[in-house]
Amino acid sequence: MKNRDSFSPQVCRVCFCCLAIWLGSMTMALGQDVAVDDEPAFGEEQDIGQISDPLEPINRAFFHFNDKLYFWVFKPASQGYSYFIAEDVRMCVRSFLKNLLAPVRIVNNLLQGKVADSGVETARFVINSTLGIAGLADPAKNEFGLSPKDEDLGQTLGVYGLGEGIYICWPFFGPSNMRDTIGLAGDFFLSPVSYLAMSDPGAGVAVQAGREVNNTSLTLGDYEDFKEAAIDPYVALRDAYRQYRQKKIRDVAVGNDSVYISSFGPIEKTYAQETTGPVSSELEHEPVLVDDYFVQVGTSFDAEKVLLMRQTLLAMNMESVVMVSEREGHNFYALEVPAGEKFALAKQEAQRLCAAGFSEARVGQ
Amino acid sequence: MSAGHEIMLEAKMKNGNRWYLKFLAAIVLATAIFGIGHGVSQAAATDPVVVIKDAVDEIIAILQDEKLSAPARKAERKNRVVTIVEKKFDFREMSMRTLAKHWQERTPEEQDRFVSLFKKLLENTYIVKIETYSGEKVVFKKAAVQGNKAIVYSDLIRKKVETPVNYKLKNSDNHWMVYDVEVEGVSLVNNYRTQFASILSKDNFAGLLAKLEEKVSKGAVE
Repeated sequence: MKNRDSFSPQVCRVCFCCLAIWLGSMTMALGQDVAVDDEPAFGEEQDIGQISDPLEPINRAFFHFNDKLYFWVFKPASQGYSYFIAEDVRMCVRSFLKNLLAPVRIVNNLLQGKVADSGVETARFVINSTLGIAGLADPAKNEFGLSPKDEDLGQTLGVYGLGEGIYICWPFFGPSNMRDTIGLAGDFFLSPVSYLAMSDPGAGVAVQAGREVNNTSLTLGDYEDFKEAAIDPYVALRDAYRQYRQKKIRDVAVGNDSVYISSFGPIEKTYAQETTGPVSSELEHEPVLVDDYFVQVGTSFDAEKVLLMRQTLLAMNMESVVMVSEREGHNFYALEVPAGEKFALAKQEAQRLCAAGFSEARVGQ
Repeated sequence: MSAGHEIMLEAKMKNGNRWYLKFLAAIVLATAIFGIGHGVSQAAATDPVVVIKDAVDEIIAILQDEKLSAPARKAERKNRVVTIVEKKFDFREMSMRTLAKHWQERTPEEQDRFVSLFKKLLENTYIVKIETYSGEKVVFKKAAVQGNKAIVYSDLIRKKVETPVNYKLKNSDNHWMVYDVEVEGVSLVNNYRTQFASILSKDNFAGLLAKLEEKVSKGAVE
């Protein structure tokens, strides 16, 4: 009997691992297929079809309710709040609350077969909860280069092929649909705030409202801008929500990691990139001298062109060694420069390459 | 940085074979310099990243120019931004795409009217918003090019939050022009297309134009 008791959890664990790996390989296989025929004419939006909105009159009523709620309650509250609380503190609060929701992202990454991303989220949670002082800061991203992998149950269900169902505009929560509402309910059990709310509903509501006020204080004006640009704000928000969610789901279904996440490592210093001046090719700062320099340049050029450049550089400058490598779809140009006299040369090279249209130039160690 | 070390390691290995490199370089030098001179200048002229980046840089420079921020020169400042945007954004292509099947059914006059109203709407809502610029950063990441279409991926960094902004461009007559902007995955053109389709399902084209006109005139007063 005793044996059996210890056996079944183990079986579960093995099964789960198999499941995870299987799902992982499935997603990858799926991704390869989908990438070919699902990718529409380049740059064109996929037609995401007509929305089903049978509840439109009720939804519109709730849309107006939320609209008024924003202008009459959350906006003034956020303005008052931001008057007293410094922006840095508010950003810390936001990242603290985001860190609390890590279980949602970890589990859903796993459910989607994104084992590695689930690991990234776990590492983020561990690093930010400790070094980041309970999630107040985000050293995982800033120091370790681990970008968040935002997944929720609504997306997971979407990846498994569940349609969005009818559009629902919830009072307080805002735009959603059938699928994401189910997702929200499921994710509820993974959020620590929910357990607080279950034991003390008042505190739960307070945390939610506080979170809303805090986040609103950092994006004041965005909703106004959005509304002002729209001819029919209700339809505009409904469509924006659909596009946003479909994009989030499709990033996975196509098998890519989000295309938006930069594949560069942690950035030591970026020159020539953070548009502050009119000239796109100017390097801005004088880097600090250390033993060896690398000038690394990420580029949108194709590999042949970079190789050609490398060869010319080699020919011009025998003492420094030039490398071209490809990493995660990006071409890097690296120039090793000894401290001292060669430094000016390296800087010149970087400038020249930037002028030629390289997208990034940086010096690393 | 492990990647850096990797590169260094590989570079050092290459270093050992210097005689080989010298030999290679001598051959390459003659052929490559000519080739590069060609390749680079051409690529720089047509690289869509450069097209967008230059425009963004120019606009930011205007916004940062303190002489132009005086109230008396506000109109001038706006005009200068508009001029830059006009050179890079294809409002006709955008209008066509937002109206989709309805575009064909319109007379050339109606089309022109629509283009000018739609352009005005975007100017009123977005270009005016550019004025609230407060030190946001734009980081350009990469571009994907296929035939005469390109997508430039960038991040707008504001209060430590990155918002992905993708520009979609089309090349005609060797000029890259933007025909759509995607913010956080939401395409501007698609968003308007949905709105226009919804209005046109209940109203006729004149009604849509009237709505646009009302919106534009309201925006101009503010």
